[in-house]
Amino acid sequence: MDNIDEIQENFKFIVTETQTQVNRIHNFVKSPTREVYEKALNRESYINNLKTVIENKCYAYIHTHGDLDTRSLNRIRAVLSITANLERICDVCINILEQMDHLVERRILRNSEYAPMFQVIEESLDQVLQALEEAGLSKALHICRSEYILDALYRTSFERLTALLDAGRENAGNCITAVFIYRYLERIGDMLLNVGEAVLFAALGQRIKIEQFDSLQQTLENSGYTGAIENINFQAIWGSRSGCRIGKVENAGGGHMPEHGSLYKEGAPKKILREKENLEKWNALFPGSVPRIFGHHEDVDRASLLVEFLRGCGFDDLIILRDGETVTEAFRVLEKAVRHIWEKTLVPGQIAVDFMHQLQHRCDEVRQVHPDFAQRSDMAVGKARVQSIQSLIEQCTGYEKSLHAPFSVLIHGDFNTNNIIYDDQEHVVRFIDLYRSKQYDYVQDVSVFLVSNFRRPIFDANLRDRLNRGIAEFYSWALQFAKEKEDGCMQARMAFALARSFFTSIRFELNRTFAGAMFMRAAFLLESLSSHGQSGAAWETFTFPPELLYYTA
Amino acid sequence: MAAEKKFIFESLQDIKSISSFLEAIVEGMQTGKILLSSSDECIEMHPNGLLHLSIKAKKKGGNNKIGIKVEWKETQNQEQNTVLSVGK
Repeated sequence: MDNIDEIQENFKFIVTETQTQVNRIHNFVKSPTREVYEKALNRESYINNLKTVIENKCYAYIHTHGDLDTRSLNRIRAVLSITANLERICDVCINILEQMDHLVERRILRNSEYAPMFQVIEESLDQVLQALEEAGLSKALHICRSEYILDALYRTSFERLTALLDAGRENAGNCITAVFIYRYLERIGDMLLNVGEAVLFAALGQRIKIEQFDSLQQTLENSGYTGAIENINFQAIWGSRSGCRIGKVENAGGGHMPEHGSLYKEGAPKKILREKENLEKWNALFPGSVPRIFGHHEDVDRASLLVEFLRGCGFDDLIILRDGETVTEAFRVLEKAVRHIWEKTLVPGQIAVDFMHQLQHRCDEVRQVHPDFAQRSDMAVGKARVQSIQSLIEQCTGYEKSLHAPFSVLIHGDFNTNNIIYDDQEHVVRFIDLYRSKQYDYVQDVSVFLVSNFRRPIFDANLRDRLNRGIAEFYSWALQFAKEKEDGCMQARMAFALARSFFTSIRFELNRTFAGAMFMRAAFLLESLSSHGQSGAAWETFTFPPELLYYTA
Repeated sequence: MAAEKKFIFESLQDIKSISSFLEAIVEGMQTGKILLSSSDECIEMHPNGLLHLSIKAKKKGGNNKIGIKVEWKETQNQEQNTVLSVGK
């Protein structure tokens, strides 16, 4: 019977074997003997075998325990990953052994160079069992950091050896062999990094790269958190489409931390900085409407933010899950809040719109997922003609230039339903993910909201009906707003914006029928806009059938 | 066996734009030639002789469907159909 104890026992064996093998190679580099050489070679197949045994037992265990909780499953995944990396470390040990054979003169290797490298590796391997056992973050981080140290040590040796080569005073083959040996030791660092990250994964339940972890730690420190990193529960919440990573951070004891926990967001500095600036702007204009910022940290290529975790329910879940009365109330609160924001930030005066530019910007991604849609060619059915998508996009890009919004407002910029949080205790809505927020046409937020409902892959008739009702409610409210503001060409801009949202949304949808429904809506809107543009009629007279906003399962 | 040729065009249309497609098909029926083409495929059809027409309609709840299907077989040497003669 495969059980967890057997896995544990074999795992201990492979850790011990790796420690012994590394130690053996260390001794061999110091003073090579035939006996150690043969012993090391002989152990290689045993270690390979151990790896296979552990893999088999782990998969059998997962297979026979279908109801494993996430934590146990993550631990097994970590065991598998660590095992694979330990076996690779042992392979690299054999590579070093073989390289030693090619050395003409052993004195090219310096004890002062390789001994510290072996020491780092040996110390890291000593921590593996306990780190996984305790799910201890500091031990895991210690293992991860061995890679940095080994890199630095390798660089020193490499520079010395290349200088020798340049000077031409040393046998070239000898120098190169020595570089190989140091390089192999440096590569063990890469494998140890994987081992450390696997322990982090078991401890946090989240694949987190060491640089991200460092960034989280820095951000927490900047936020005034004084406790130990072990006291932080880091929980992945969702993968962000914008390429940022988001996790929930909670205090598990000790140290100062906000009450409801906070949200940790990490990504490209430009995006994070814009998000930070926008959060500050919104908080100044509309206090409490967006999360507070607790911390911020920036490196050359990564930046992170620690923001308030908002209590409440995302509008995406709310529309689907909550009772009719709550949904109605939530829409009333949302519409009131949005109207307040728009009215307060409204700047009169025409502004250009660029929905087609936004569409073109994402064309490649759409083409990758649905090439046949994105590349629909010119077609003919008898004398009736169908224009290619590309030429429709080009034409509409031209026509859009003649269209302006009569005023601008502060838009959210990514007004998806999952970026709107409703707190039914305080009856307020708050907004998250504001890095695209700017002064622009309100039609952008309306169309994104509508299509974020439409594009949900929900095909149950009752739930679909809820989505359709949400769409109808918000659209009729937006039409009313346009009417009040005497915005005569709102429908035309809405058609451009919807074409953009429908078209770009198909890149997230692999269900061909559903993606096709969105594509056909985009194509219909583009065809209508193009033919209206050609006619030279005023944009104020443009309308589209509202049915295309709805989907029936 | 001859390779299968297929042309598919699916779209959303309003009443005005759908009419232009239906008219184009009607015109093709009358002239005996309908050309259907895209960048990958070009099918020239010659509706001729006896054609099978099926018209199906369905209404269920809010869903409506009208299906129009025209099928025919292309006979080889259509012009030289064997003349059946009785007697001499």
